[in-house]
Amino acid sequence: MDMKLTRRTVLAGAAALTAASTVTRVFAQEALAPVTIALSSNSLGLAPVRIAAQAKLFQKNGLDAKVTIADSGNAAMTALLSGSVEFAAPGLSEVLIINSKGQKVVVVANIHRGLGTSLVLSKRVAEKLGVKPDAPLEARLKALEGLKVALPSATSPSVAAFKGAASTAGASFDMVYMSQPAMIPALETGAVDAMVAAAPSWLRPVNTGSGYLWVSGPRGDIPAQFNTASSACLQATEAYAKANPKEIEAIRKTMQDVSKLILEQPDEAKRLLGEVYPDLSAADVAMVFDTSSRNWAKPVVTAQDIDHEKELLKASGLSTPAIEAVDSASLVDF
Amino acid sequence: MQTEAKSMAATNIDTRARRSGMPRWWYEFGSLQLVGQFAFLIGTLVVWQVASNAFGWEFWISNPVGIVEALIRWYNTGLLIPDLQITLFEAAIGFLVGSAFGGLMGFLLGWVRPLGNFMEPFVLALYTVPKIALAPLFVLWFGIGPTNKVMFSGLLVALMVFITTFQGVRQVDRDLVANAILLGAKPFQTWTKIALPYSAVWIFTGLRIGLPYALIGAIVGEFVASDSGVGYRIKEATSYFDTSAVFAGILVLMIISTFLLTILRLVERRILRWQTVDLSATREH
Repeated sequence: MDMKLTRRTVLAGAAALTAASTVTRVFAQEALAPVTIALSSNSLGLAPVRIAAQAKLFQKNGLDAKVTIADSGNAAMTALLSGSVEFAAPGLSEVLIINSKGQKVVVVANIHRGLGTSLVLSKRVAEKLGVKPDAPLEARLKALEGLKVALPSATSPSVAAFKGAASTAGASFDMVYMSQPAMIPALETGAVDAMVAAAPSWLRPVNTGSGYLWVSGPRGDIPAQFNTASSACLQATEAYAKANPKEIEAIRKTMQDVSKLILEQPDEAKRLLGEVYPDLSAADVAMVFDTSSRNWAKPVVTAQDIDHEKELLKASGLSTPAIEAVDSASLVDF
Repeated sequence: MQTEAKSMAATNIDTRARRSGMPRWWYEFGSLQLVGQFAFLIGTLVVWQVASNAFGWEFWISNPVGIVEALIRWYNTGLLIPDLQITLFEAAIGFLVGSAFGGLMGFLLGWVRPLGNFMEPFVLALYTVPKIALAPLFVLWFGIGPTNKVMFSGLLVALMVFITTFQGVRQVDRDLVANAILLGAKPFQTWTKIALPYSAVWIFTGLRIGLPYALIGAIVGEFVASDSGVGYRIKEATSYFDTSAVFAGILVLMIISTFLLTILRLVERRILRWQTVDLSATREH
């Protein structure tokens, strides 16, 4: 066949190639299900989701995931209920409270096992009390007696955890509630003696030398009976979960993949963590990774975990009959 | 004289009724408007309650009965009055501090033109700053106690009062001032006899706009760091997804704000009574 290479055939060929590549791209994009995930903060406790996004694990599992940062767990849950996001990442207490209000929200996968916050004590107070940050845990807990401690909110799992932990050493402290960004100036100006926050908020006073990492949730300083099973987990409305089993499975698979990455390729995971949090120094990334990675690598929440959360709410006086009546199994098996 | 005034008022009512096409009694009984407003309020509350019950929207929009119940619960905990006292104290002091500072600065910069021209861009730049973003910094500067909320309230109010006072004083008729000086008026007399009366409406407008901002400042301060106050209770209720309690807090704020605005309006009416003219009557003739 004698085919002449004219200007017309070249142009037609180029147009056909462009159209073909566009069609391929469109089909490739269509294959990915778009989902939006609202995280409750930029806390490092939620790092697995951001590592997964950075490592393109959501795409690998067929999701075009957009991660957005809300002001609090409460705001993330509200975004979920309003239908503006498909997944939110508050704690277990929020899922229990919201179900007790008649809204059906289910737990899809875990993000952070146990408490994600830590207590930082002002250096000034520690020196006054004569207790060192490397003293035994009981002595550090006892040192909290009568101090003024800043906490994120009255309903935070940190309240029951740190109050409970202090009570094992016979100590009790006064609480002041404030947003995490306000805690740092409050600690540095002496308005409060200690603050309970997640990384990266607590890193600043520790790095500048104005505070000591005193009691760490991620490190496992909180006794099991006061510790939450999950301080952050991916949640969806029951209606969405039932209507979109493929997306639910993809989210679960992604969280398993990121757990595997954290456990089997820690250096790669640290590199990705550093990329997600460019303001953190390599030393901070390493420290946070070492204390938190084991909590990040447990992607499953069970009905027993939810029962444990109910007990915690009860012990801290935050439970109601409606919360106790929530069927734990229905929140994880749907 | 009284008969003349009555006759003028009757003519006024007739004219208004004729122009609007409404019956005369509509204007004759001014209280009918009040009845209408009351009926509108009750109607809205009934629709709200029925819609909430009928569609199961209590979680989303609460309802009037739920809000009243939440208020009663709040009262029964013994915290409503102390919370109100704290928030009112913070807002009131913030309002006084802010309006005094904003008023004085506005007057000074409005009166001394070269200084006002020099400072205007800086003040406008400060005015455009989203003040809420400064709230965490106020913790650094003023701690977590009431001072923090008072100063934040004061900042919001000061900017409002400053802007209106500044504009008001700038609009004072300078020819009038020059004439007064020619006739032997002292600077103090030009301030008290011309500048202040001339700009009083503007100043009061600033105070009226600033008053709700005093409450906003106190509430934002309580959102950022506190363990009591109306703002703190609203935040706490939000954590529990307790829509009724959130509305209860908002209702309390609304009542306080309306009450304070009414007082301010009475004060304004008393102070500016020399300016009161029956404009509607004037327009009709």
